[in-house]
Amino acid sequence: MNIRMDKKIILAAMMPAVLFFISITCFGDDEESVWTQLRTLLMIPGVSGMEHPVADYLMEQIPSKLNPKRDDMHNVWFSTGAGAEHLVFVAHTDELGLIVEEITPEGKLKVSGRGGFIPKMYEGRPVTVYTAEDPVDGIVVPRPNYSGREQEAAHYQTADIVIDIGAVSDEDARQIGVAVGDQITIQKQIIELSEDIIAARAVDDRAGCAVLLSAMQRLDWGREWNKKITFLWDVQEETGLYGAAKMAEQLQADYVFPVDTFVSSAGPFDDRRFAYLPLGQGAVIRAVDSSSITPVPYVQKVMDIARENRIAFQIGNTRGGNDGSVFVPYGAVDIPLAWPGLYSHSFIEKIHRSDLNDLTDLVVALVEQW
Amino acid sequence: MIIRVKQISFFLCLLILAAVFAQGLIKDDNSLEILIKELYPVPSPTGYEYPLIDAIRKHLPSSIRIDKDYLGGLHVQNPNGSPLTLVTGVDEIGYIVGGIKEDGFLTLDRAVPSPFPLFDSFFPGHGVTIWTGTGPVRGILALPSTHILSREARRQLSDYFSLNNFLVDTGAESREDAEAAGVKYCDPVTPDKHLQNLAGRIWNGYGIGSRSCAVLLLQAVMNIPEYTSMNASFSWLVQTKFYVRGSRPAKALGAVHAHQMTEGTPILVIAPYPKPDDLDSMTREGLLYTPGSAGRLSARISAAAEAHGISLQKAPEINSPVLNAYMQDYPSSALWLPVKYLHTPSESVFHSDLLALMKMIEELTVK
Repeated sequence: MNIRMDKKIILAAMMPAVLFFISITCFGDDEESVWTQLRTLLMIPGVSGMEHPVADYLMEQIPSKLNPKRDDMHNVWFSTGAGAEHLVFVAHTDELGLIVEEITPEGKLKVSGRGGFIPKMYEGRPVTVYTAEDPVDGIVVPRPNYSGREQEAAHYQTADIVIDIGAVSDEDARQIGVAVGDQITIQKQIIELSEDIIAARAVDDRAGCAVLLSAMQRLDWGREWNKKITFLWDVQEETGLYGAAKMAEQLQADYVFPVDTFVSSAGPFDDRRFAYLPLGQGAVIRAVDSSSITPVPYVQKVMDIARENRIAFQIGNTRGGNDGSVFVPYGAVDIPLAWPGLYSHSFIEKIHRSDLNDLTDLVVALVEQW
Repeated sequence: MIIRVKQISFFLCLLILAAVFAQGLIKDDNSLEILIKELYPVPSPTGYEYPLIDAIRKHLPSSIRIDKDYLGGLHVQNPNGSPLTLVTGVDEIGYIVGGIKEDGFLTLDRAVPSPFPLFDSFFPGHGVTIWTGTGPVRGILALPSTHILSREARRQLSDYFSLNNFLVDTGAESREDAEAAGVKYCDPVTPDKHLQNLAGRIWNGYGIGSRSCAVLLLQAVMNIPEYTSMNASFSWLVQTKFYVRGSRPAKALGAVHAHQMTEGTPILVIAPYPKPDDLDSMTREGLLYTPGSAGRLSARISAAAEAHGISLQKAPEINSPVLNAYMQDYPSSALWLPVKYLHTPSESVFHSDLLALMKMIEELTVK
């Protein structure tokens, strides 16, 4: 028997397994993680003002060595490093939804809305009420005389929303576990249009939250960057940037990078006069929006870093505000980053995996090279 | 000692009997729940009912006589000759691919009449499935982006909730993309369905009414202990949302087509009550029935309801295309399942009404 030849054969046979192991540990994992993080975050309820479940999840994900903090509003952040400049990266945890305002004597729920949305989307749809104990199924009852002939589809307001959880009285509803103040979301699901495209409620801004988590996992926090870095997951963006406003005063940033949606007009009903940035073409530098204009030199700096790192990017202007805008009165420069998204503030917010990957790469590059 | 053992044995027997009895009751409810959960998600838009028909057929024992009509309706024939035929429609209201645009978005059309003007408006902003020849393709019914809606567009928001403006996004970026995914004209399209159980009392979801009725008939066949004791025939009809052209009153095409398979009369239609708005003025407890033209059957129904303590109300005269399809040619009646929010994604049926209807069907179909 030729032992030397046998060893070579054994090694040759093992090579595919070794190569596979290397590929999944060194190459596959990073790109997979932001998409996986997003899918996890999308299923956690967190209507504006009720973000504690998301904060709970984030606190579990941030390593203790980074000394994460959480305040009474459920803003979550960590800061590390020291230097002349303070960079803050921020994403918001809250989503649009409903809050129980009243339980009627018949056991139905009346609600108020959080954030801007088209109320008609809720009519007749299944929802979930998140009680102190377990989630409870419910339905948004169709309007009275819904089968009548004279009905205008979009004439339906948040005040018209009535939720049936199967209770027959207010006492029954309370025994089921529902209480005034409970949050309600549409029944959460992720619609997979392809391996790389999903549509779901709350992509805005769980995608930004996922980007920060994934970037946090990739960065070497033991390195010295000669600057202070803060990653912030804040609250109540959809209802008035209240979480950011509180943190802006506290953090005193020099540069703030909100990571949020770029509302693209690439949808079939959108006017393409502006904001036409297709999905799958790269991360977005949201240079102009309803609350900020990023000075051109800083836009250029981001572009240079992106090019240097071969990160696909786009530039555009859109509508809507961003968390960074409330940092500007405290002396910061606001440089919003985003992914192109369609059907904003609906239950089918659409996103492309490659844009999310590019955005994560960009955040990592900015932390390392700004 | 002997007396004590006898007493203990007696009480043990009582306990065992009670457990078996309770198990029988629980089993009925559990097996119904299992069937509903299994069959509810199966698509059956008008003209594409075969997935559901196949799923029903899988549960039927091979020893009984099963026929299919040319449209795909399923018929279980009574080996003893049939004094009664129970029928229910299994098709649900869906759409078809009307067109594929150059940018890959799909337009939709409907194959069957809309039940009311607001019907289409419940679906934009939600998921759909296109049932292509190569498998299901997921899509979403597009809406404008809230942030960049112009003032004019906000004033015309209702337009986006109209079938005329439905655009399905499947992720395709071109017509070629969409076609490569398998999409073609006339592929059936169904809105997403979500089955919920509200407070443990109410099954809720789009189309749960007719699906429950289909399940009840299946359960009735499965529960028959010996097929020699079967006392009825059963039919799961297709294309009941499509009407015979020019018929007045409207007659369900699939029901008329199935006349050739009808061996037993009278006909008993089992279906969701077609006018849920009426229910507000009637008690919601129990079932409704339309005596129709089957006087003796009507008496049997009343007797069955009384035997089981089931509340039964006579429904007003209503326009049911399935019942209309039989009334002219056969003695026919209908037993209705009360349904809330019919033909919306929040359609609801009470567990208690389902169990009551199941008891009635069993009473009428077993010797």
